[in-house]
Amino acid sequence: MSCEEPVELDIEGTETKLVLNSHFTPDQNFEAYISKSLFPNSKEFEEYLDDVEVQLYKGNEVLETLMPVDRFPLPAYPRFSYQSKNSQPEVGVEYTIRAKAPNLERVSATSSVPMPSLIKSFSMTNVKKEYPPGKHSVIDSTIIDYLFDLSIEIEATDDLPTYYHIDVYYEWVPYDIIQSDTVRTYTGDFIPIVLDDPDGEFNGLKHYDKGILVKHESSDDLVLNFKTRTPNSIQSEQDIFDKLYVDLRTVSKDYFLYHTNLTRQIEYDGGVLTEPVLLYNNVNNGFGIFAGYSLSRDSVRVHTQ
Amino acid sequence: MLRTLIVSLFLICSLSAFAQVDLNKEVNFTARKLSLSKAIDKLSERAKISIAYSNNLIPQETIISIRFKKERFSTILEYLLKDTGLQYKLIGNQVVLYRAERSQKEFTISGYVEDKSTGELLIGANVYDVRSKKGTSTNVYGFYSLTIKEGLVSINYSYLGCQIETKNFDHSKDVTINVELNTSMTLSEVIVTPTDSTSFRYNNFSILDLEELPIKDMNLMPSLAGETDLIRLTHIMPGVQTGADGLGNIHVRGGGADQNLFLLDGVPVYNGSHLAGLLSIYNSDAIRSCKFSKGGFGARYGGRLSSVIDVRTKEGNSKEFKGDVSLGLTAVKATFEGPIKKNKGAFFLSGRRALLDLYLKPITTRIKEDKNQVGFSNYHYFDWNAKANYAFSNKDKIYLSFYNGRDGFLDKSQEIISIDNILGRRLEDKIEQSLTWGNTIGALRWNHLFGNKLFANTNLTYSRYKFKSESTRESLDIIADGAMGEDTFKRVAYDLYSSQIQDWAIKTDFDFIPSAEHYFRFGFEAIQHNFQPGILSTEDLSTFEEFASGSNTLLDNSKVSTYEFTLYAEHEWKPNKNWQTTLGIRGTAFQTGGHTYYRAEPRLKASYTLQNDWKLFSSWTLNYQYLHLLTPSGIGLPSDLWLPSTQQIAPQRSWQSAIGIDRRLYDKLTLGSELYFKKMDHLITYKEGDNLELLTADNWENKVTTGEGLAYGAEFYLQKNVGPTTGNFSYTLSWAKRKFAEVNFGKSYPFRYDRRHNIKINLIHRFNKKFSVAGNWSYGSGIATTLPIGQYEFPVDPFFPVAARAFSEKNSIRMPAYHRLDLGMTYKISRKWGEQQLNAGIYNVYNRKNPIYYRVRRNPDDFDKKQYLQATLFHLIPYFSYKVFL
Repeated sequence: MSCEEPVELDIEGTETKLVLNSHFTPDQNFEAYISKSLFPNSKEFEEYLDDVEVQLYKGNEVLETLMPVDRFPLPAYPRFSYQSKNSQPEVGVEYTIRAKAPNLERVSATSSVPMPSLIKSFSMTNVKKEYPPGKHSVIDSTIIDYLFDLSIEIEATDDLPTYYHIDVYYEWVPYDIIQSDTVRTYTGDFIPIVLDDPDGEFNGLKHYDKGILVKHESSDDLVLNFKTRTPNSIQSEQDIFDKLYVDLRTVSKDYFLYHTNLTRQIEYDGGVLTEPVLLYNNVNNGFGIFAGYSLSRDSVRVHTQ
Repeated sequence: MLRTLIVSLFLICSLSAFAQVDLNKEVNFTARKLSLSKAIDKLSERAKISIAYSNNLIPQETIISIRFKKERFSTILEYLLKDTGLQYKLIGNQVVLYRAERSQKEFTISGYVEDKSTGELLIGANVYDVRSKKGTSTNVYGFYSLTIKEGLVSINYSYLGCQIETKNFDHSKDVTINVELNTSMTLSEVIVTPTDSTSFRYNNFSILDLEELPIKDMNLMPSLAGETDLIRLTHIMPGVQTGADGLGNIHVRGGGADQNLFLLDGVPVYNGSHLAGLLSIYNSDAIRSCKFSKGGFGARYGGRLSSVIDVRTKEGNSKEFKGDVSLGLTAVKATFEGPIKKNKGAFFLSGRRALLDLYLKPITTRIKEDKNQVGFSNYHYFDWNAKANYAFSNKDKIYLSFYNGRDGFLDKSQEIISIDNILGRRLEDKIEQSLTWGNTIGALRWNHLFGNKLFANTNLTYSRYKFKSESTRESLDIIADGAMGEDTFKRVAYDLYSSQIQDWAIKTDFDFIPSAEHYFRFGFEAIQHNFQPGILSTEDLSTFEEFASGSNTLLDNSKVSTYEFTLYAEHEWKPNKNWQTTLGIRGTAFQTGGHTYYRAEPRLKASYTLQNDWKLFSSWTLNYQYLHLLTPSGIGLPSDLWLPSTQQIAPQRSWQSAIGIDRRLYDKLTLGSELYFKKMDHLITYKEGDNLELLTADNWENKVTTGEGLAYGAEFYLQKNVGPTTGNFSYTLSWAKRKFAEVNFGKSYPFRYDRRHNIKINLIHRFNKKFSVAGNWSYGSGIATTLPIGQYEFPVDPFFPVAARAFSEKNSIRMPAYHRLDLGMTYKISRKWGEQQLNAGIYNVYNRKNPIYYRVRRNPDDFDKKQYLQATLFHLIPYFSYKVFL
């Protein structure tokens, strides 16, 4: 009957390759992480390289050579990113990145920043309070969840299909009342709101990290409606919940394909007998993604009763 | 001519002797196995009356054995000329034989052809008049109707493996002739005349088209674990692809597993396999005939794109009670049949049960014990067929049939790990996986004959396929807390796949055969399809407990019903002995939700026989399929969901065109080749990695993507079915591709079963009536697969990067070629009380390790390197089975 045994297979493409990952947007310098790929199912730590020659091109013209910066605080596990000093992306311009590391094949990738889409409206309605499960309201009536509806209307573009990565979050502001004054106690943070499309109304895919990925193929405005809630309970005597932000990333097709499939790959593992989720790759001779996006932002103040 | 001269000379010499001819003269006359002409000559001599005739008038095949004592000459002569269409008159002193003037009227010969020993009606028996060179074949109920011009006829009734039966008579009126063919043949008869090749060529479109599978050879061929199987017979056909060892069902000319119409006595079967496709639900002891068509099928077949496997089971022995029992390594089978009323009705019962559980459970219990686990694995299957029929009159017959089969797999294991003896902490891991599936099929049929040219069959049918797959993992973290007792933390992972498709149908088929040149088939069908798909995957404890207690009805309400209506008409036309065409149209309406699809499916086939018995043939068909099969694995595991077309998901469609040529060589060999091109669209598959936490009849459309398929290739076939050595050789060169909007980034990719080259050889040699050996060898280029080729981190956040796995392009990697040799022998011993049959052999003789999948892991001997693991299903397996026929 069935059994597994080791075999020697010579499969093309399994040799170690350079991995290049970079997302870029106007008003920020270019940044690329470069590492060496591991073999599948490896338990090793990935090696981020600091001896790679990385050059950025605008069309055929060299913009600059990117330099490594260690972005991780633990010296034993450096994670270098290569950053530009003078160059920032512009909308509609095609950029190419080329990288060469010792003993590894040269890699290259090309992408551009799409035109930003405009947020026509962003609204929050039907805000309700709910005591979180397991928390007794009498014991601690200050711990509450907010349930609400969100609506985001995005102006149609001529460039169809249009790809979006939409992220909504609220600013967590911890406070204390000291001598009748409201005093911010910590720095705070931006907490992402879970966005999902369970019924497939607009073919959205919840991103593995935050936000939602949407492909819009119609020439009409895109209207997205969500029923959602605060992801963490709000302590009304310590936290302020008064503002929601939306980040609308109009992303390149490369960005969209990479993140939809990476999300599906992370969320889904059907085992060896099911069809795998292929990961998009636009890095020639290597692995990874080099993709641009443009950003629009809006916010809305929370009105609760 | 010579005989005419001699008789004339005799007449001249005798003229003087016959002065006055007395036709009432009494004579003694005896004929013992004399040809008609010799009998006439002898009568002339005995009566001393000159009889003049032309040799061309006298039927050569007629043999006379008769004795008359003092009978009148005219009476004897009239007796001899009976059924010859000849008359006589006295001219001068001699009697002259002549053919009576005939009008060009046509009369019908109709009836049933059956097996002489069992009374089983024979399907596809050839009925052929060698004089007019016209013929027909019996339908699936053994009925034939042949309308030809009056006159002398010589009708050959032939069927593979039977002695040819010839009927000579003067055809002057509508006549019913029921024929019994003798299947109890000696070896030499098997060698010489397996079928009447001329009538076979006349009645069949091409050797590569609607092929009658050699069921009689099935029991002689090597088998998997001693269980002969019909589906393995299809594997030797060109254009048929499977996974390793038959895993993954069959894929015909690049089509999907759901595109094959499996029929059991005319009723669709939705999962025709036991053991994940390794065996079929068709019990070889119950099969009477099987026709297999690869796409050029007529308008009477529909609802699938790629093939038809039309299996007819035995009706029962209407002559005497018979039974047999067989015991193999994996299954036991028993069959019992006999007359309800002799030659009027019969019953048939056959069942089998797997024996795997007898040794699987103790073996797996021991294996788990070695791993410090408590539990076992077990698997079993059973199926049974029951049929009864009764002829109320010569025109009415009722059939009742029932099939039920079920597969069950269960795996249980429990592991207890003590991780802290001091605190008394222990982990308990309980895993239980169960998988059950099965079909239930019932049919009530009524055959009615309107006159002798119109045959009607009305069916009321029921077909249900159901499967349920559950996997539960309960993890308990238990901490003994001294006097406070135990604290238990429970986690659970629960996966449920379930699916049911249930059909109720009414169908009437008509066969109208107005003449030998025209054969019309038409009919209608109405089907109600009921679907109940469901997938649930949860780690939520309360949801799991709801399901465990049966209180969660989420999937119970996942139901949808659709209605399918069909009208079809098919005209088979043989304008002359060279041309044969079949033109058909099938009109369907499919009501799903609030939407109705109307589709027309034209079917066209034509063949032309050239000189030297070369035959050219071509077909063009358009097919629609309203049912879809969603499969996550692609290897035929019963985790597949049958789903209907909806307003959003259009019916699958294919059009296929094929052209070919074949030739009969020396009446022993058939050589053929066919080129085909098939385009399919509106196929569905799961989106890559879509969330399958909950799938119901209401949301499944969001989880699939639609696409198209393309298949083309060439098939070559050489078959020998005469002589002590029979067998076939086939070679297929083929391509099959798929393209889905949300798979492989929308790019075209090779279909998993895109094997470029396929060679199949199958041989049987009969040494004598008792002993035969058989072997088959198959070779197929590697199937297409996708493998991981690398891994890296995506630094969405440099502090918390996520792991990304890079794969090869979709199905861009080829597994090694599949090949396998099987050898087997059959030995029969006849006793007064019955017959014994011994089958033994070896599956995978040279122990080829054919992979079913690969996976990658870290090399345990060198952690810096990767290692590929290959899974193989079957190594060398000897088999043995013993059968007793009573």
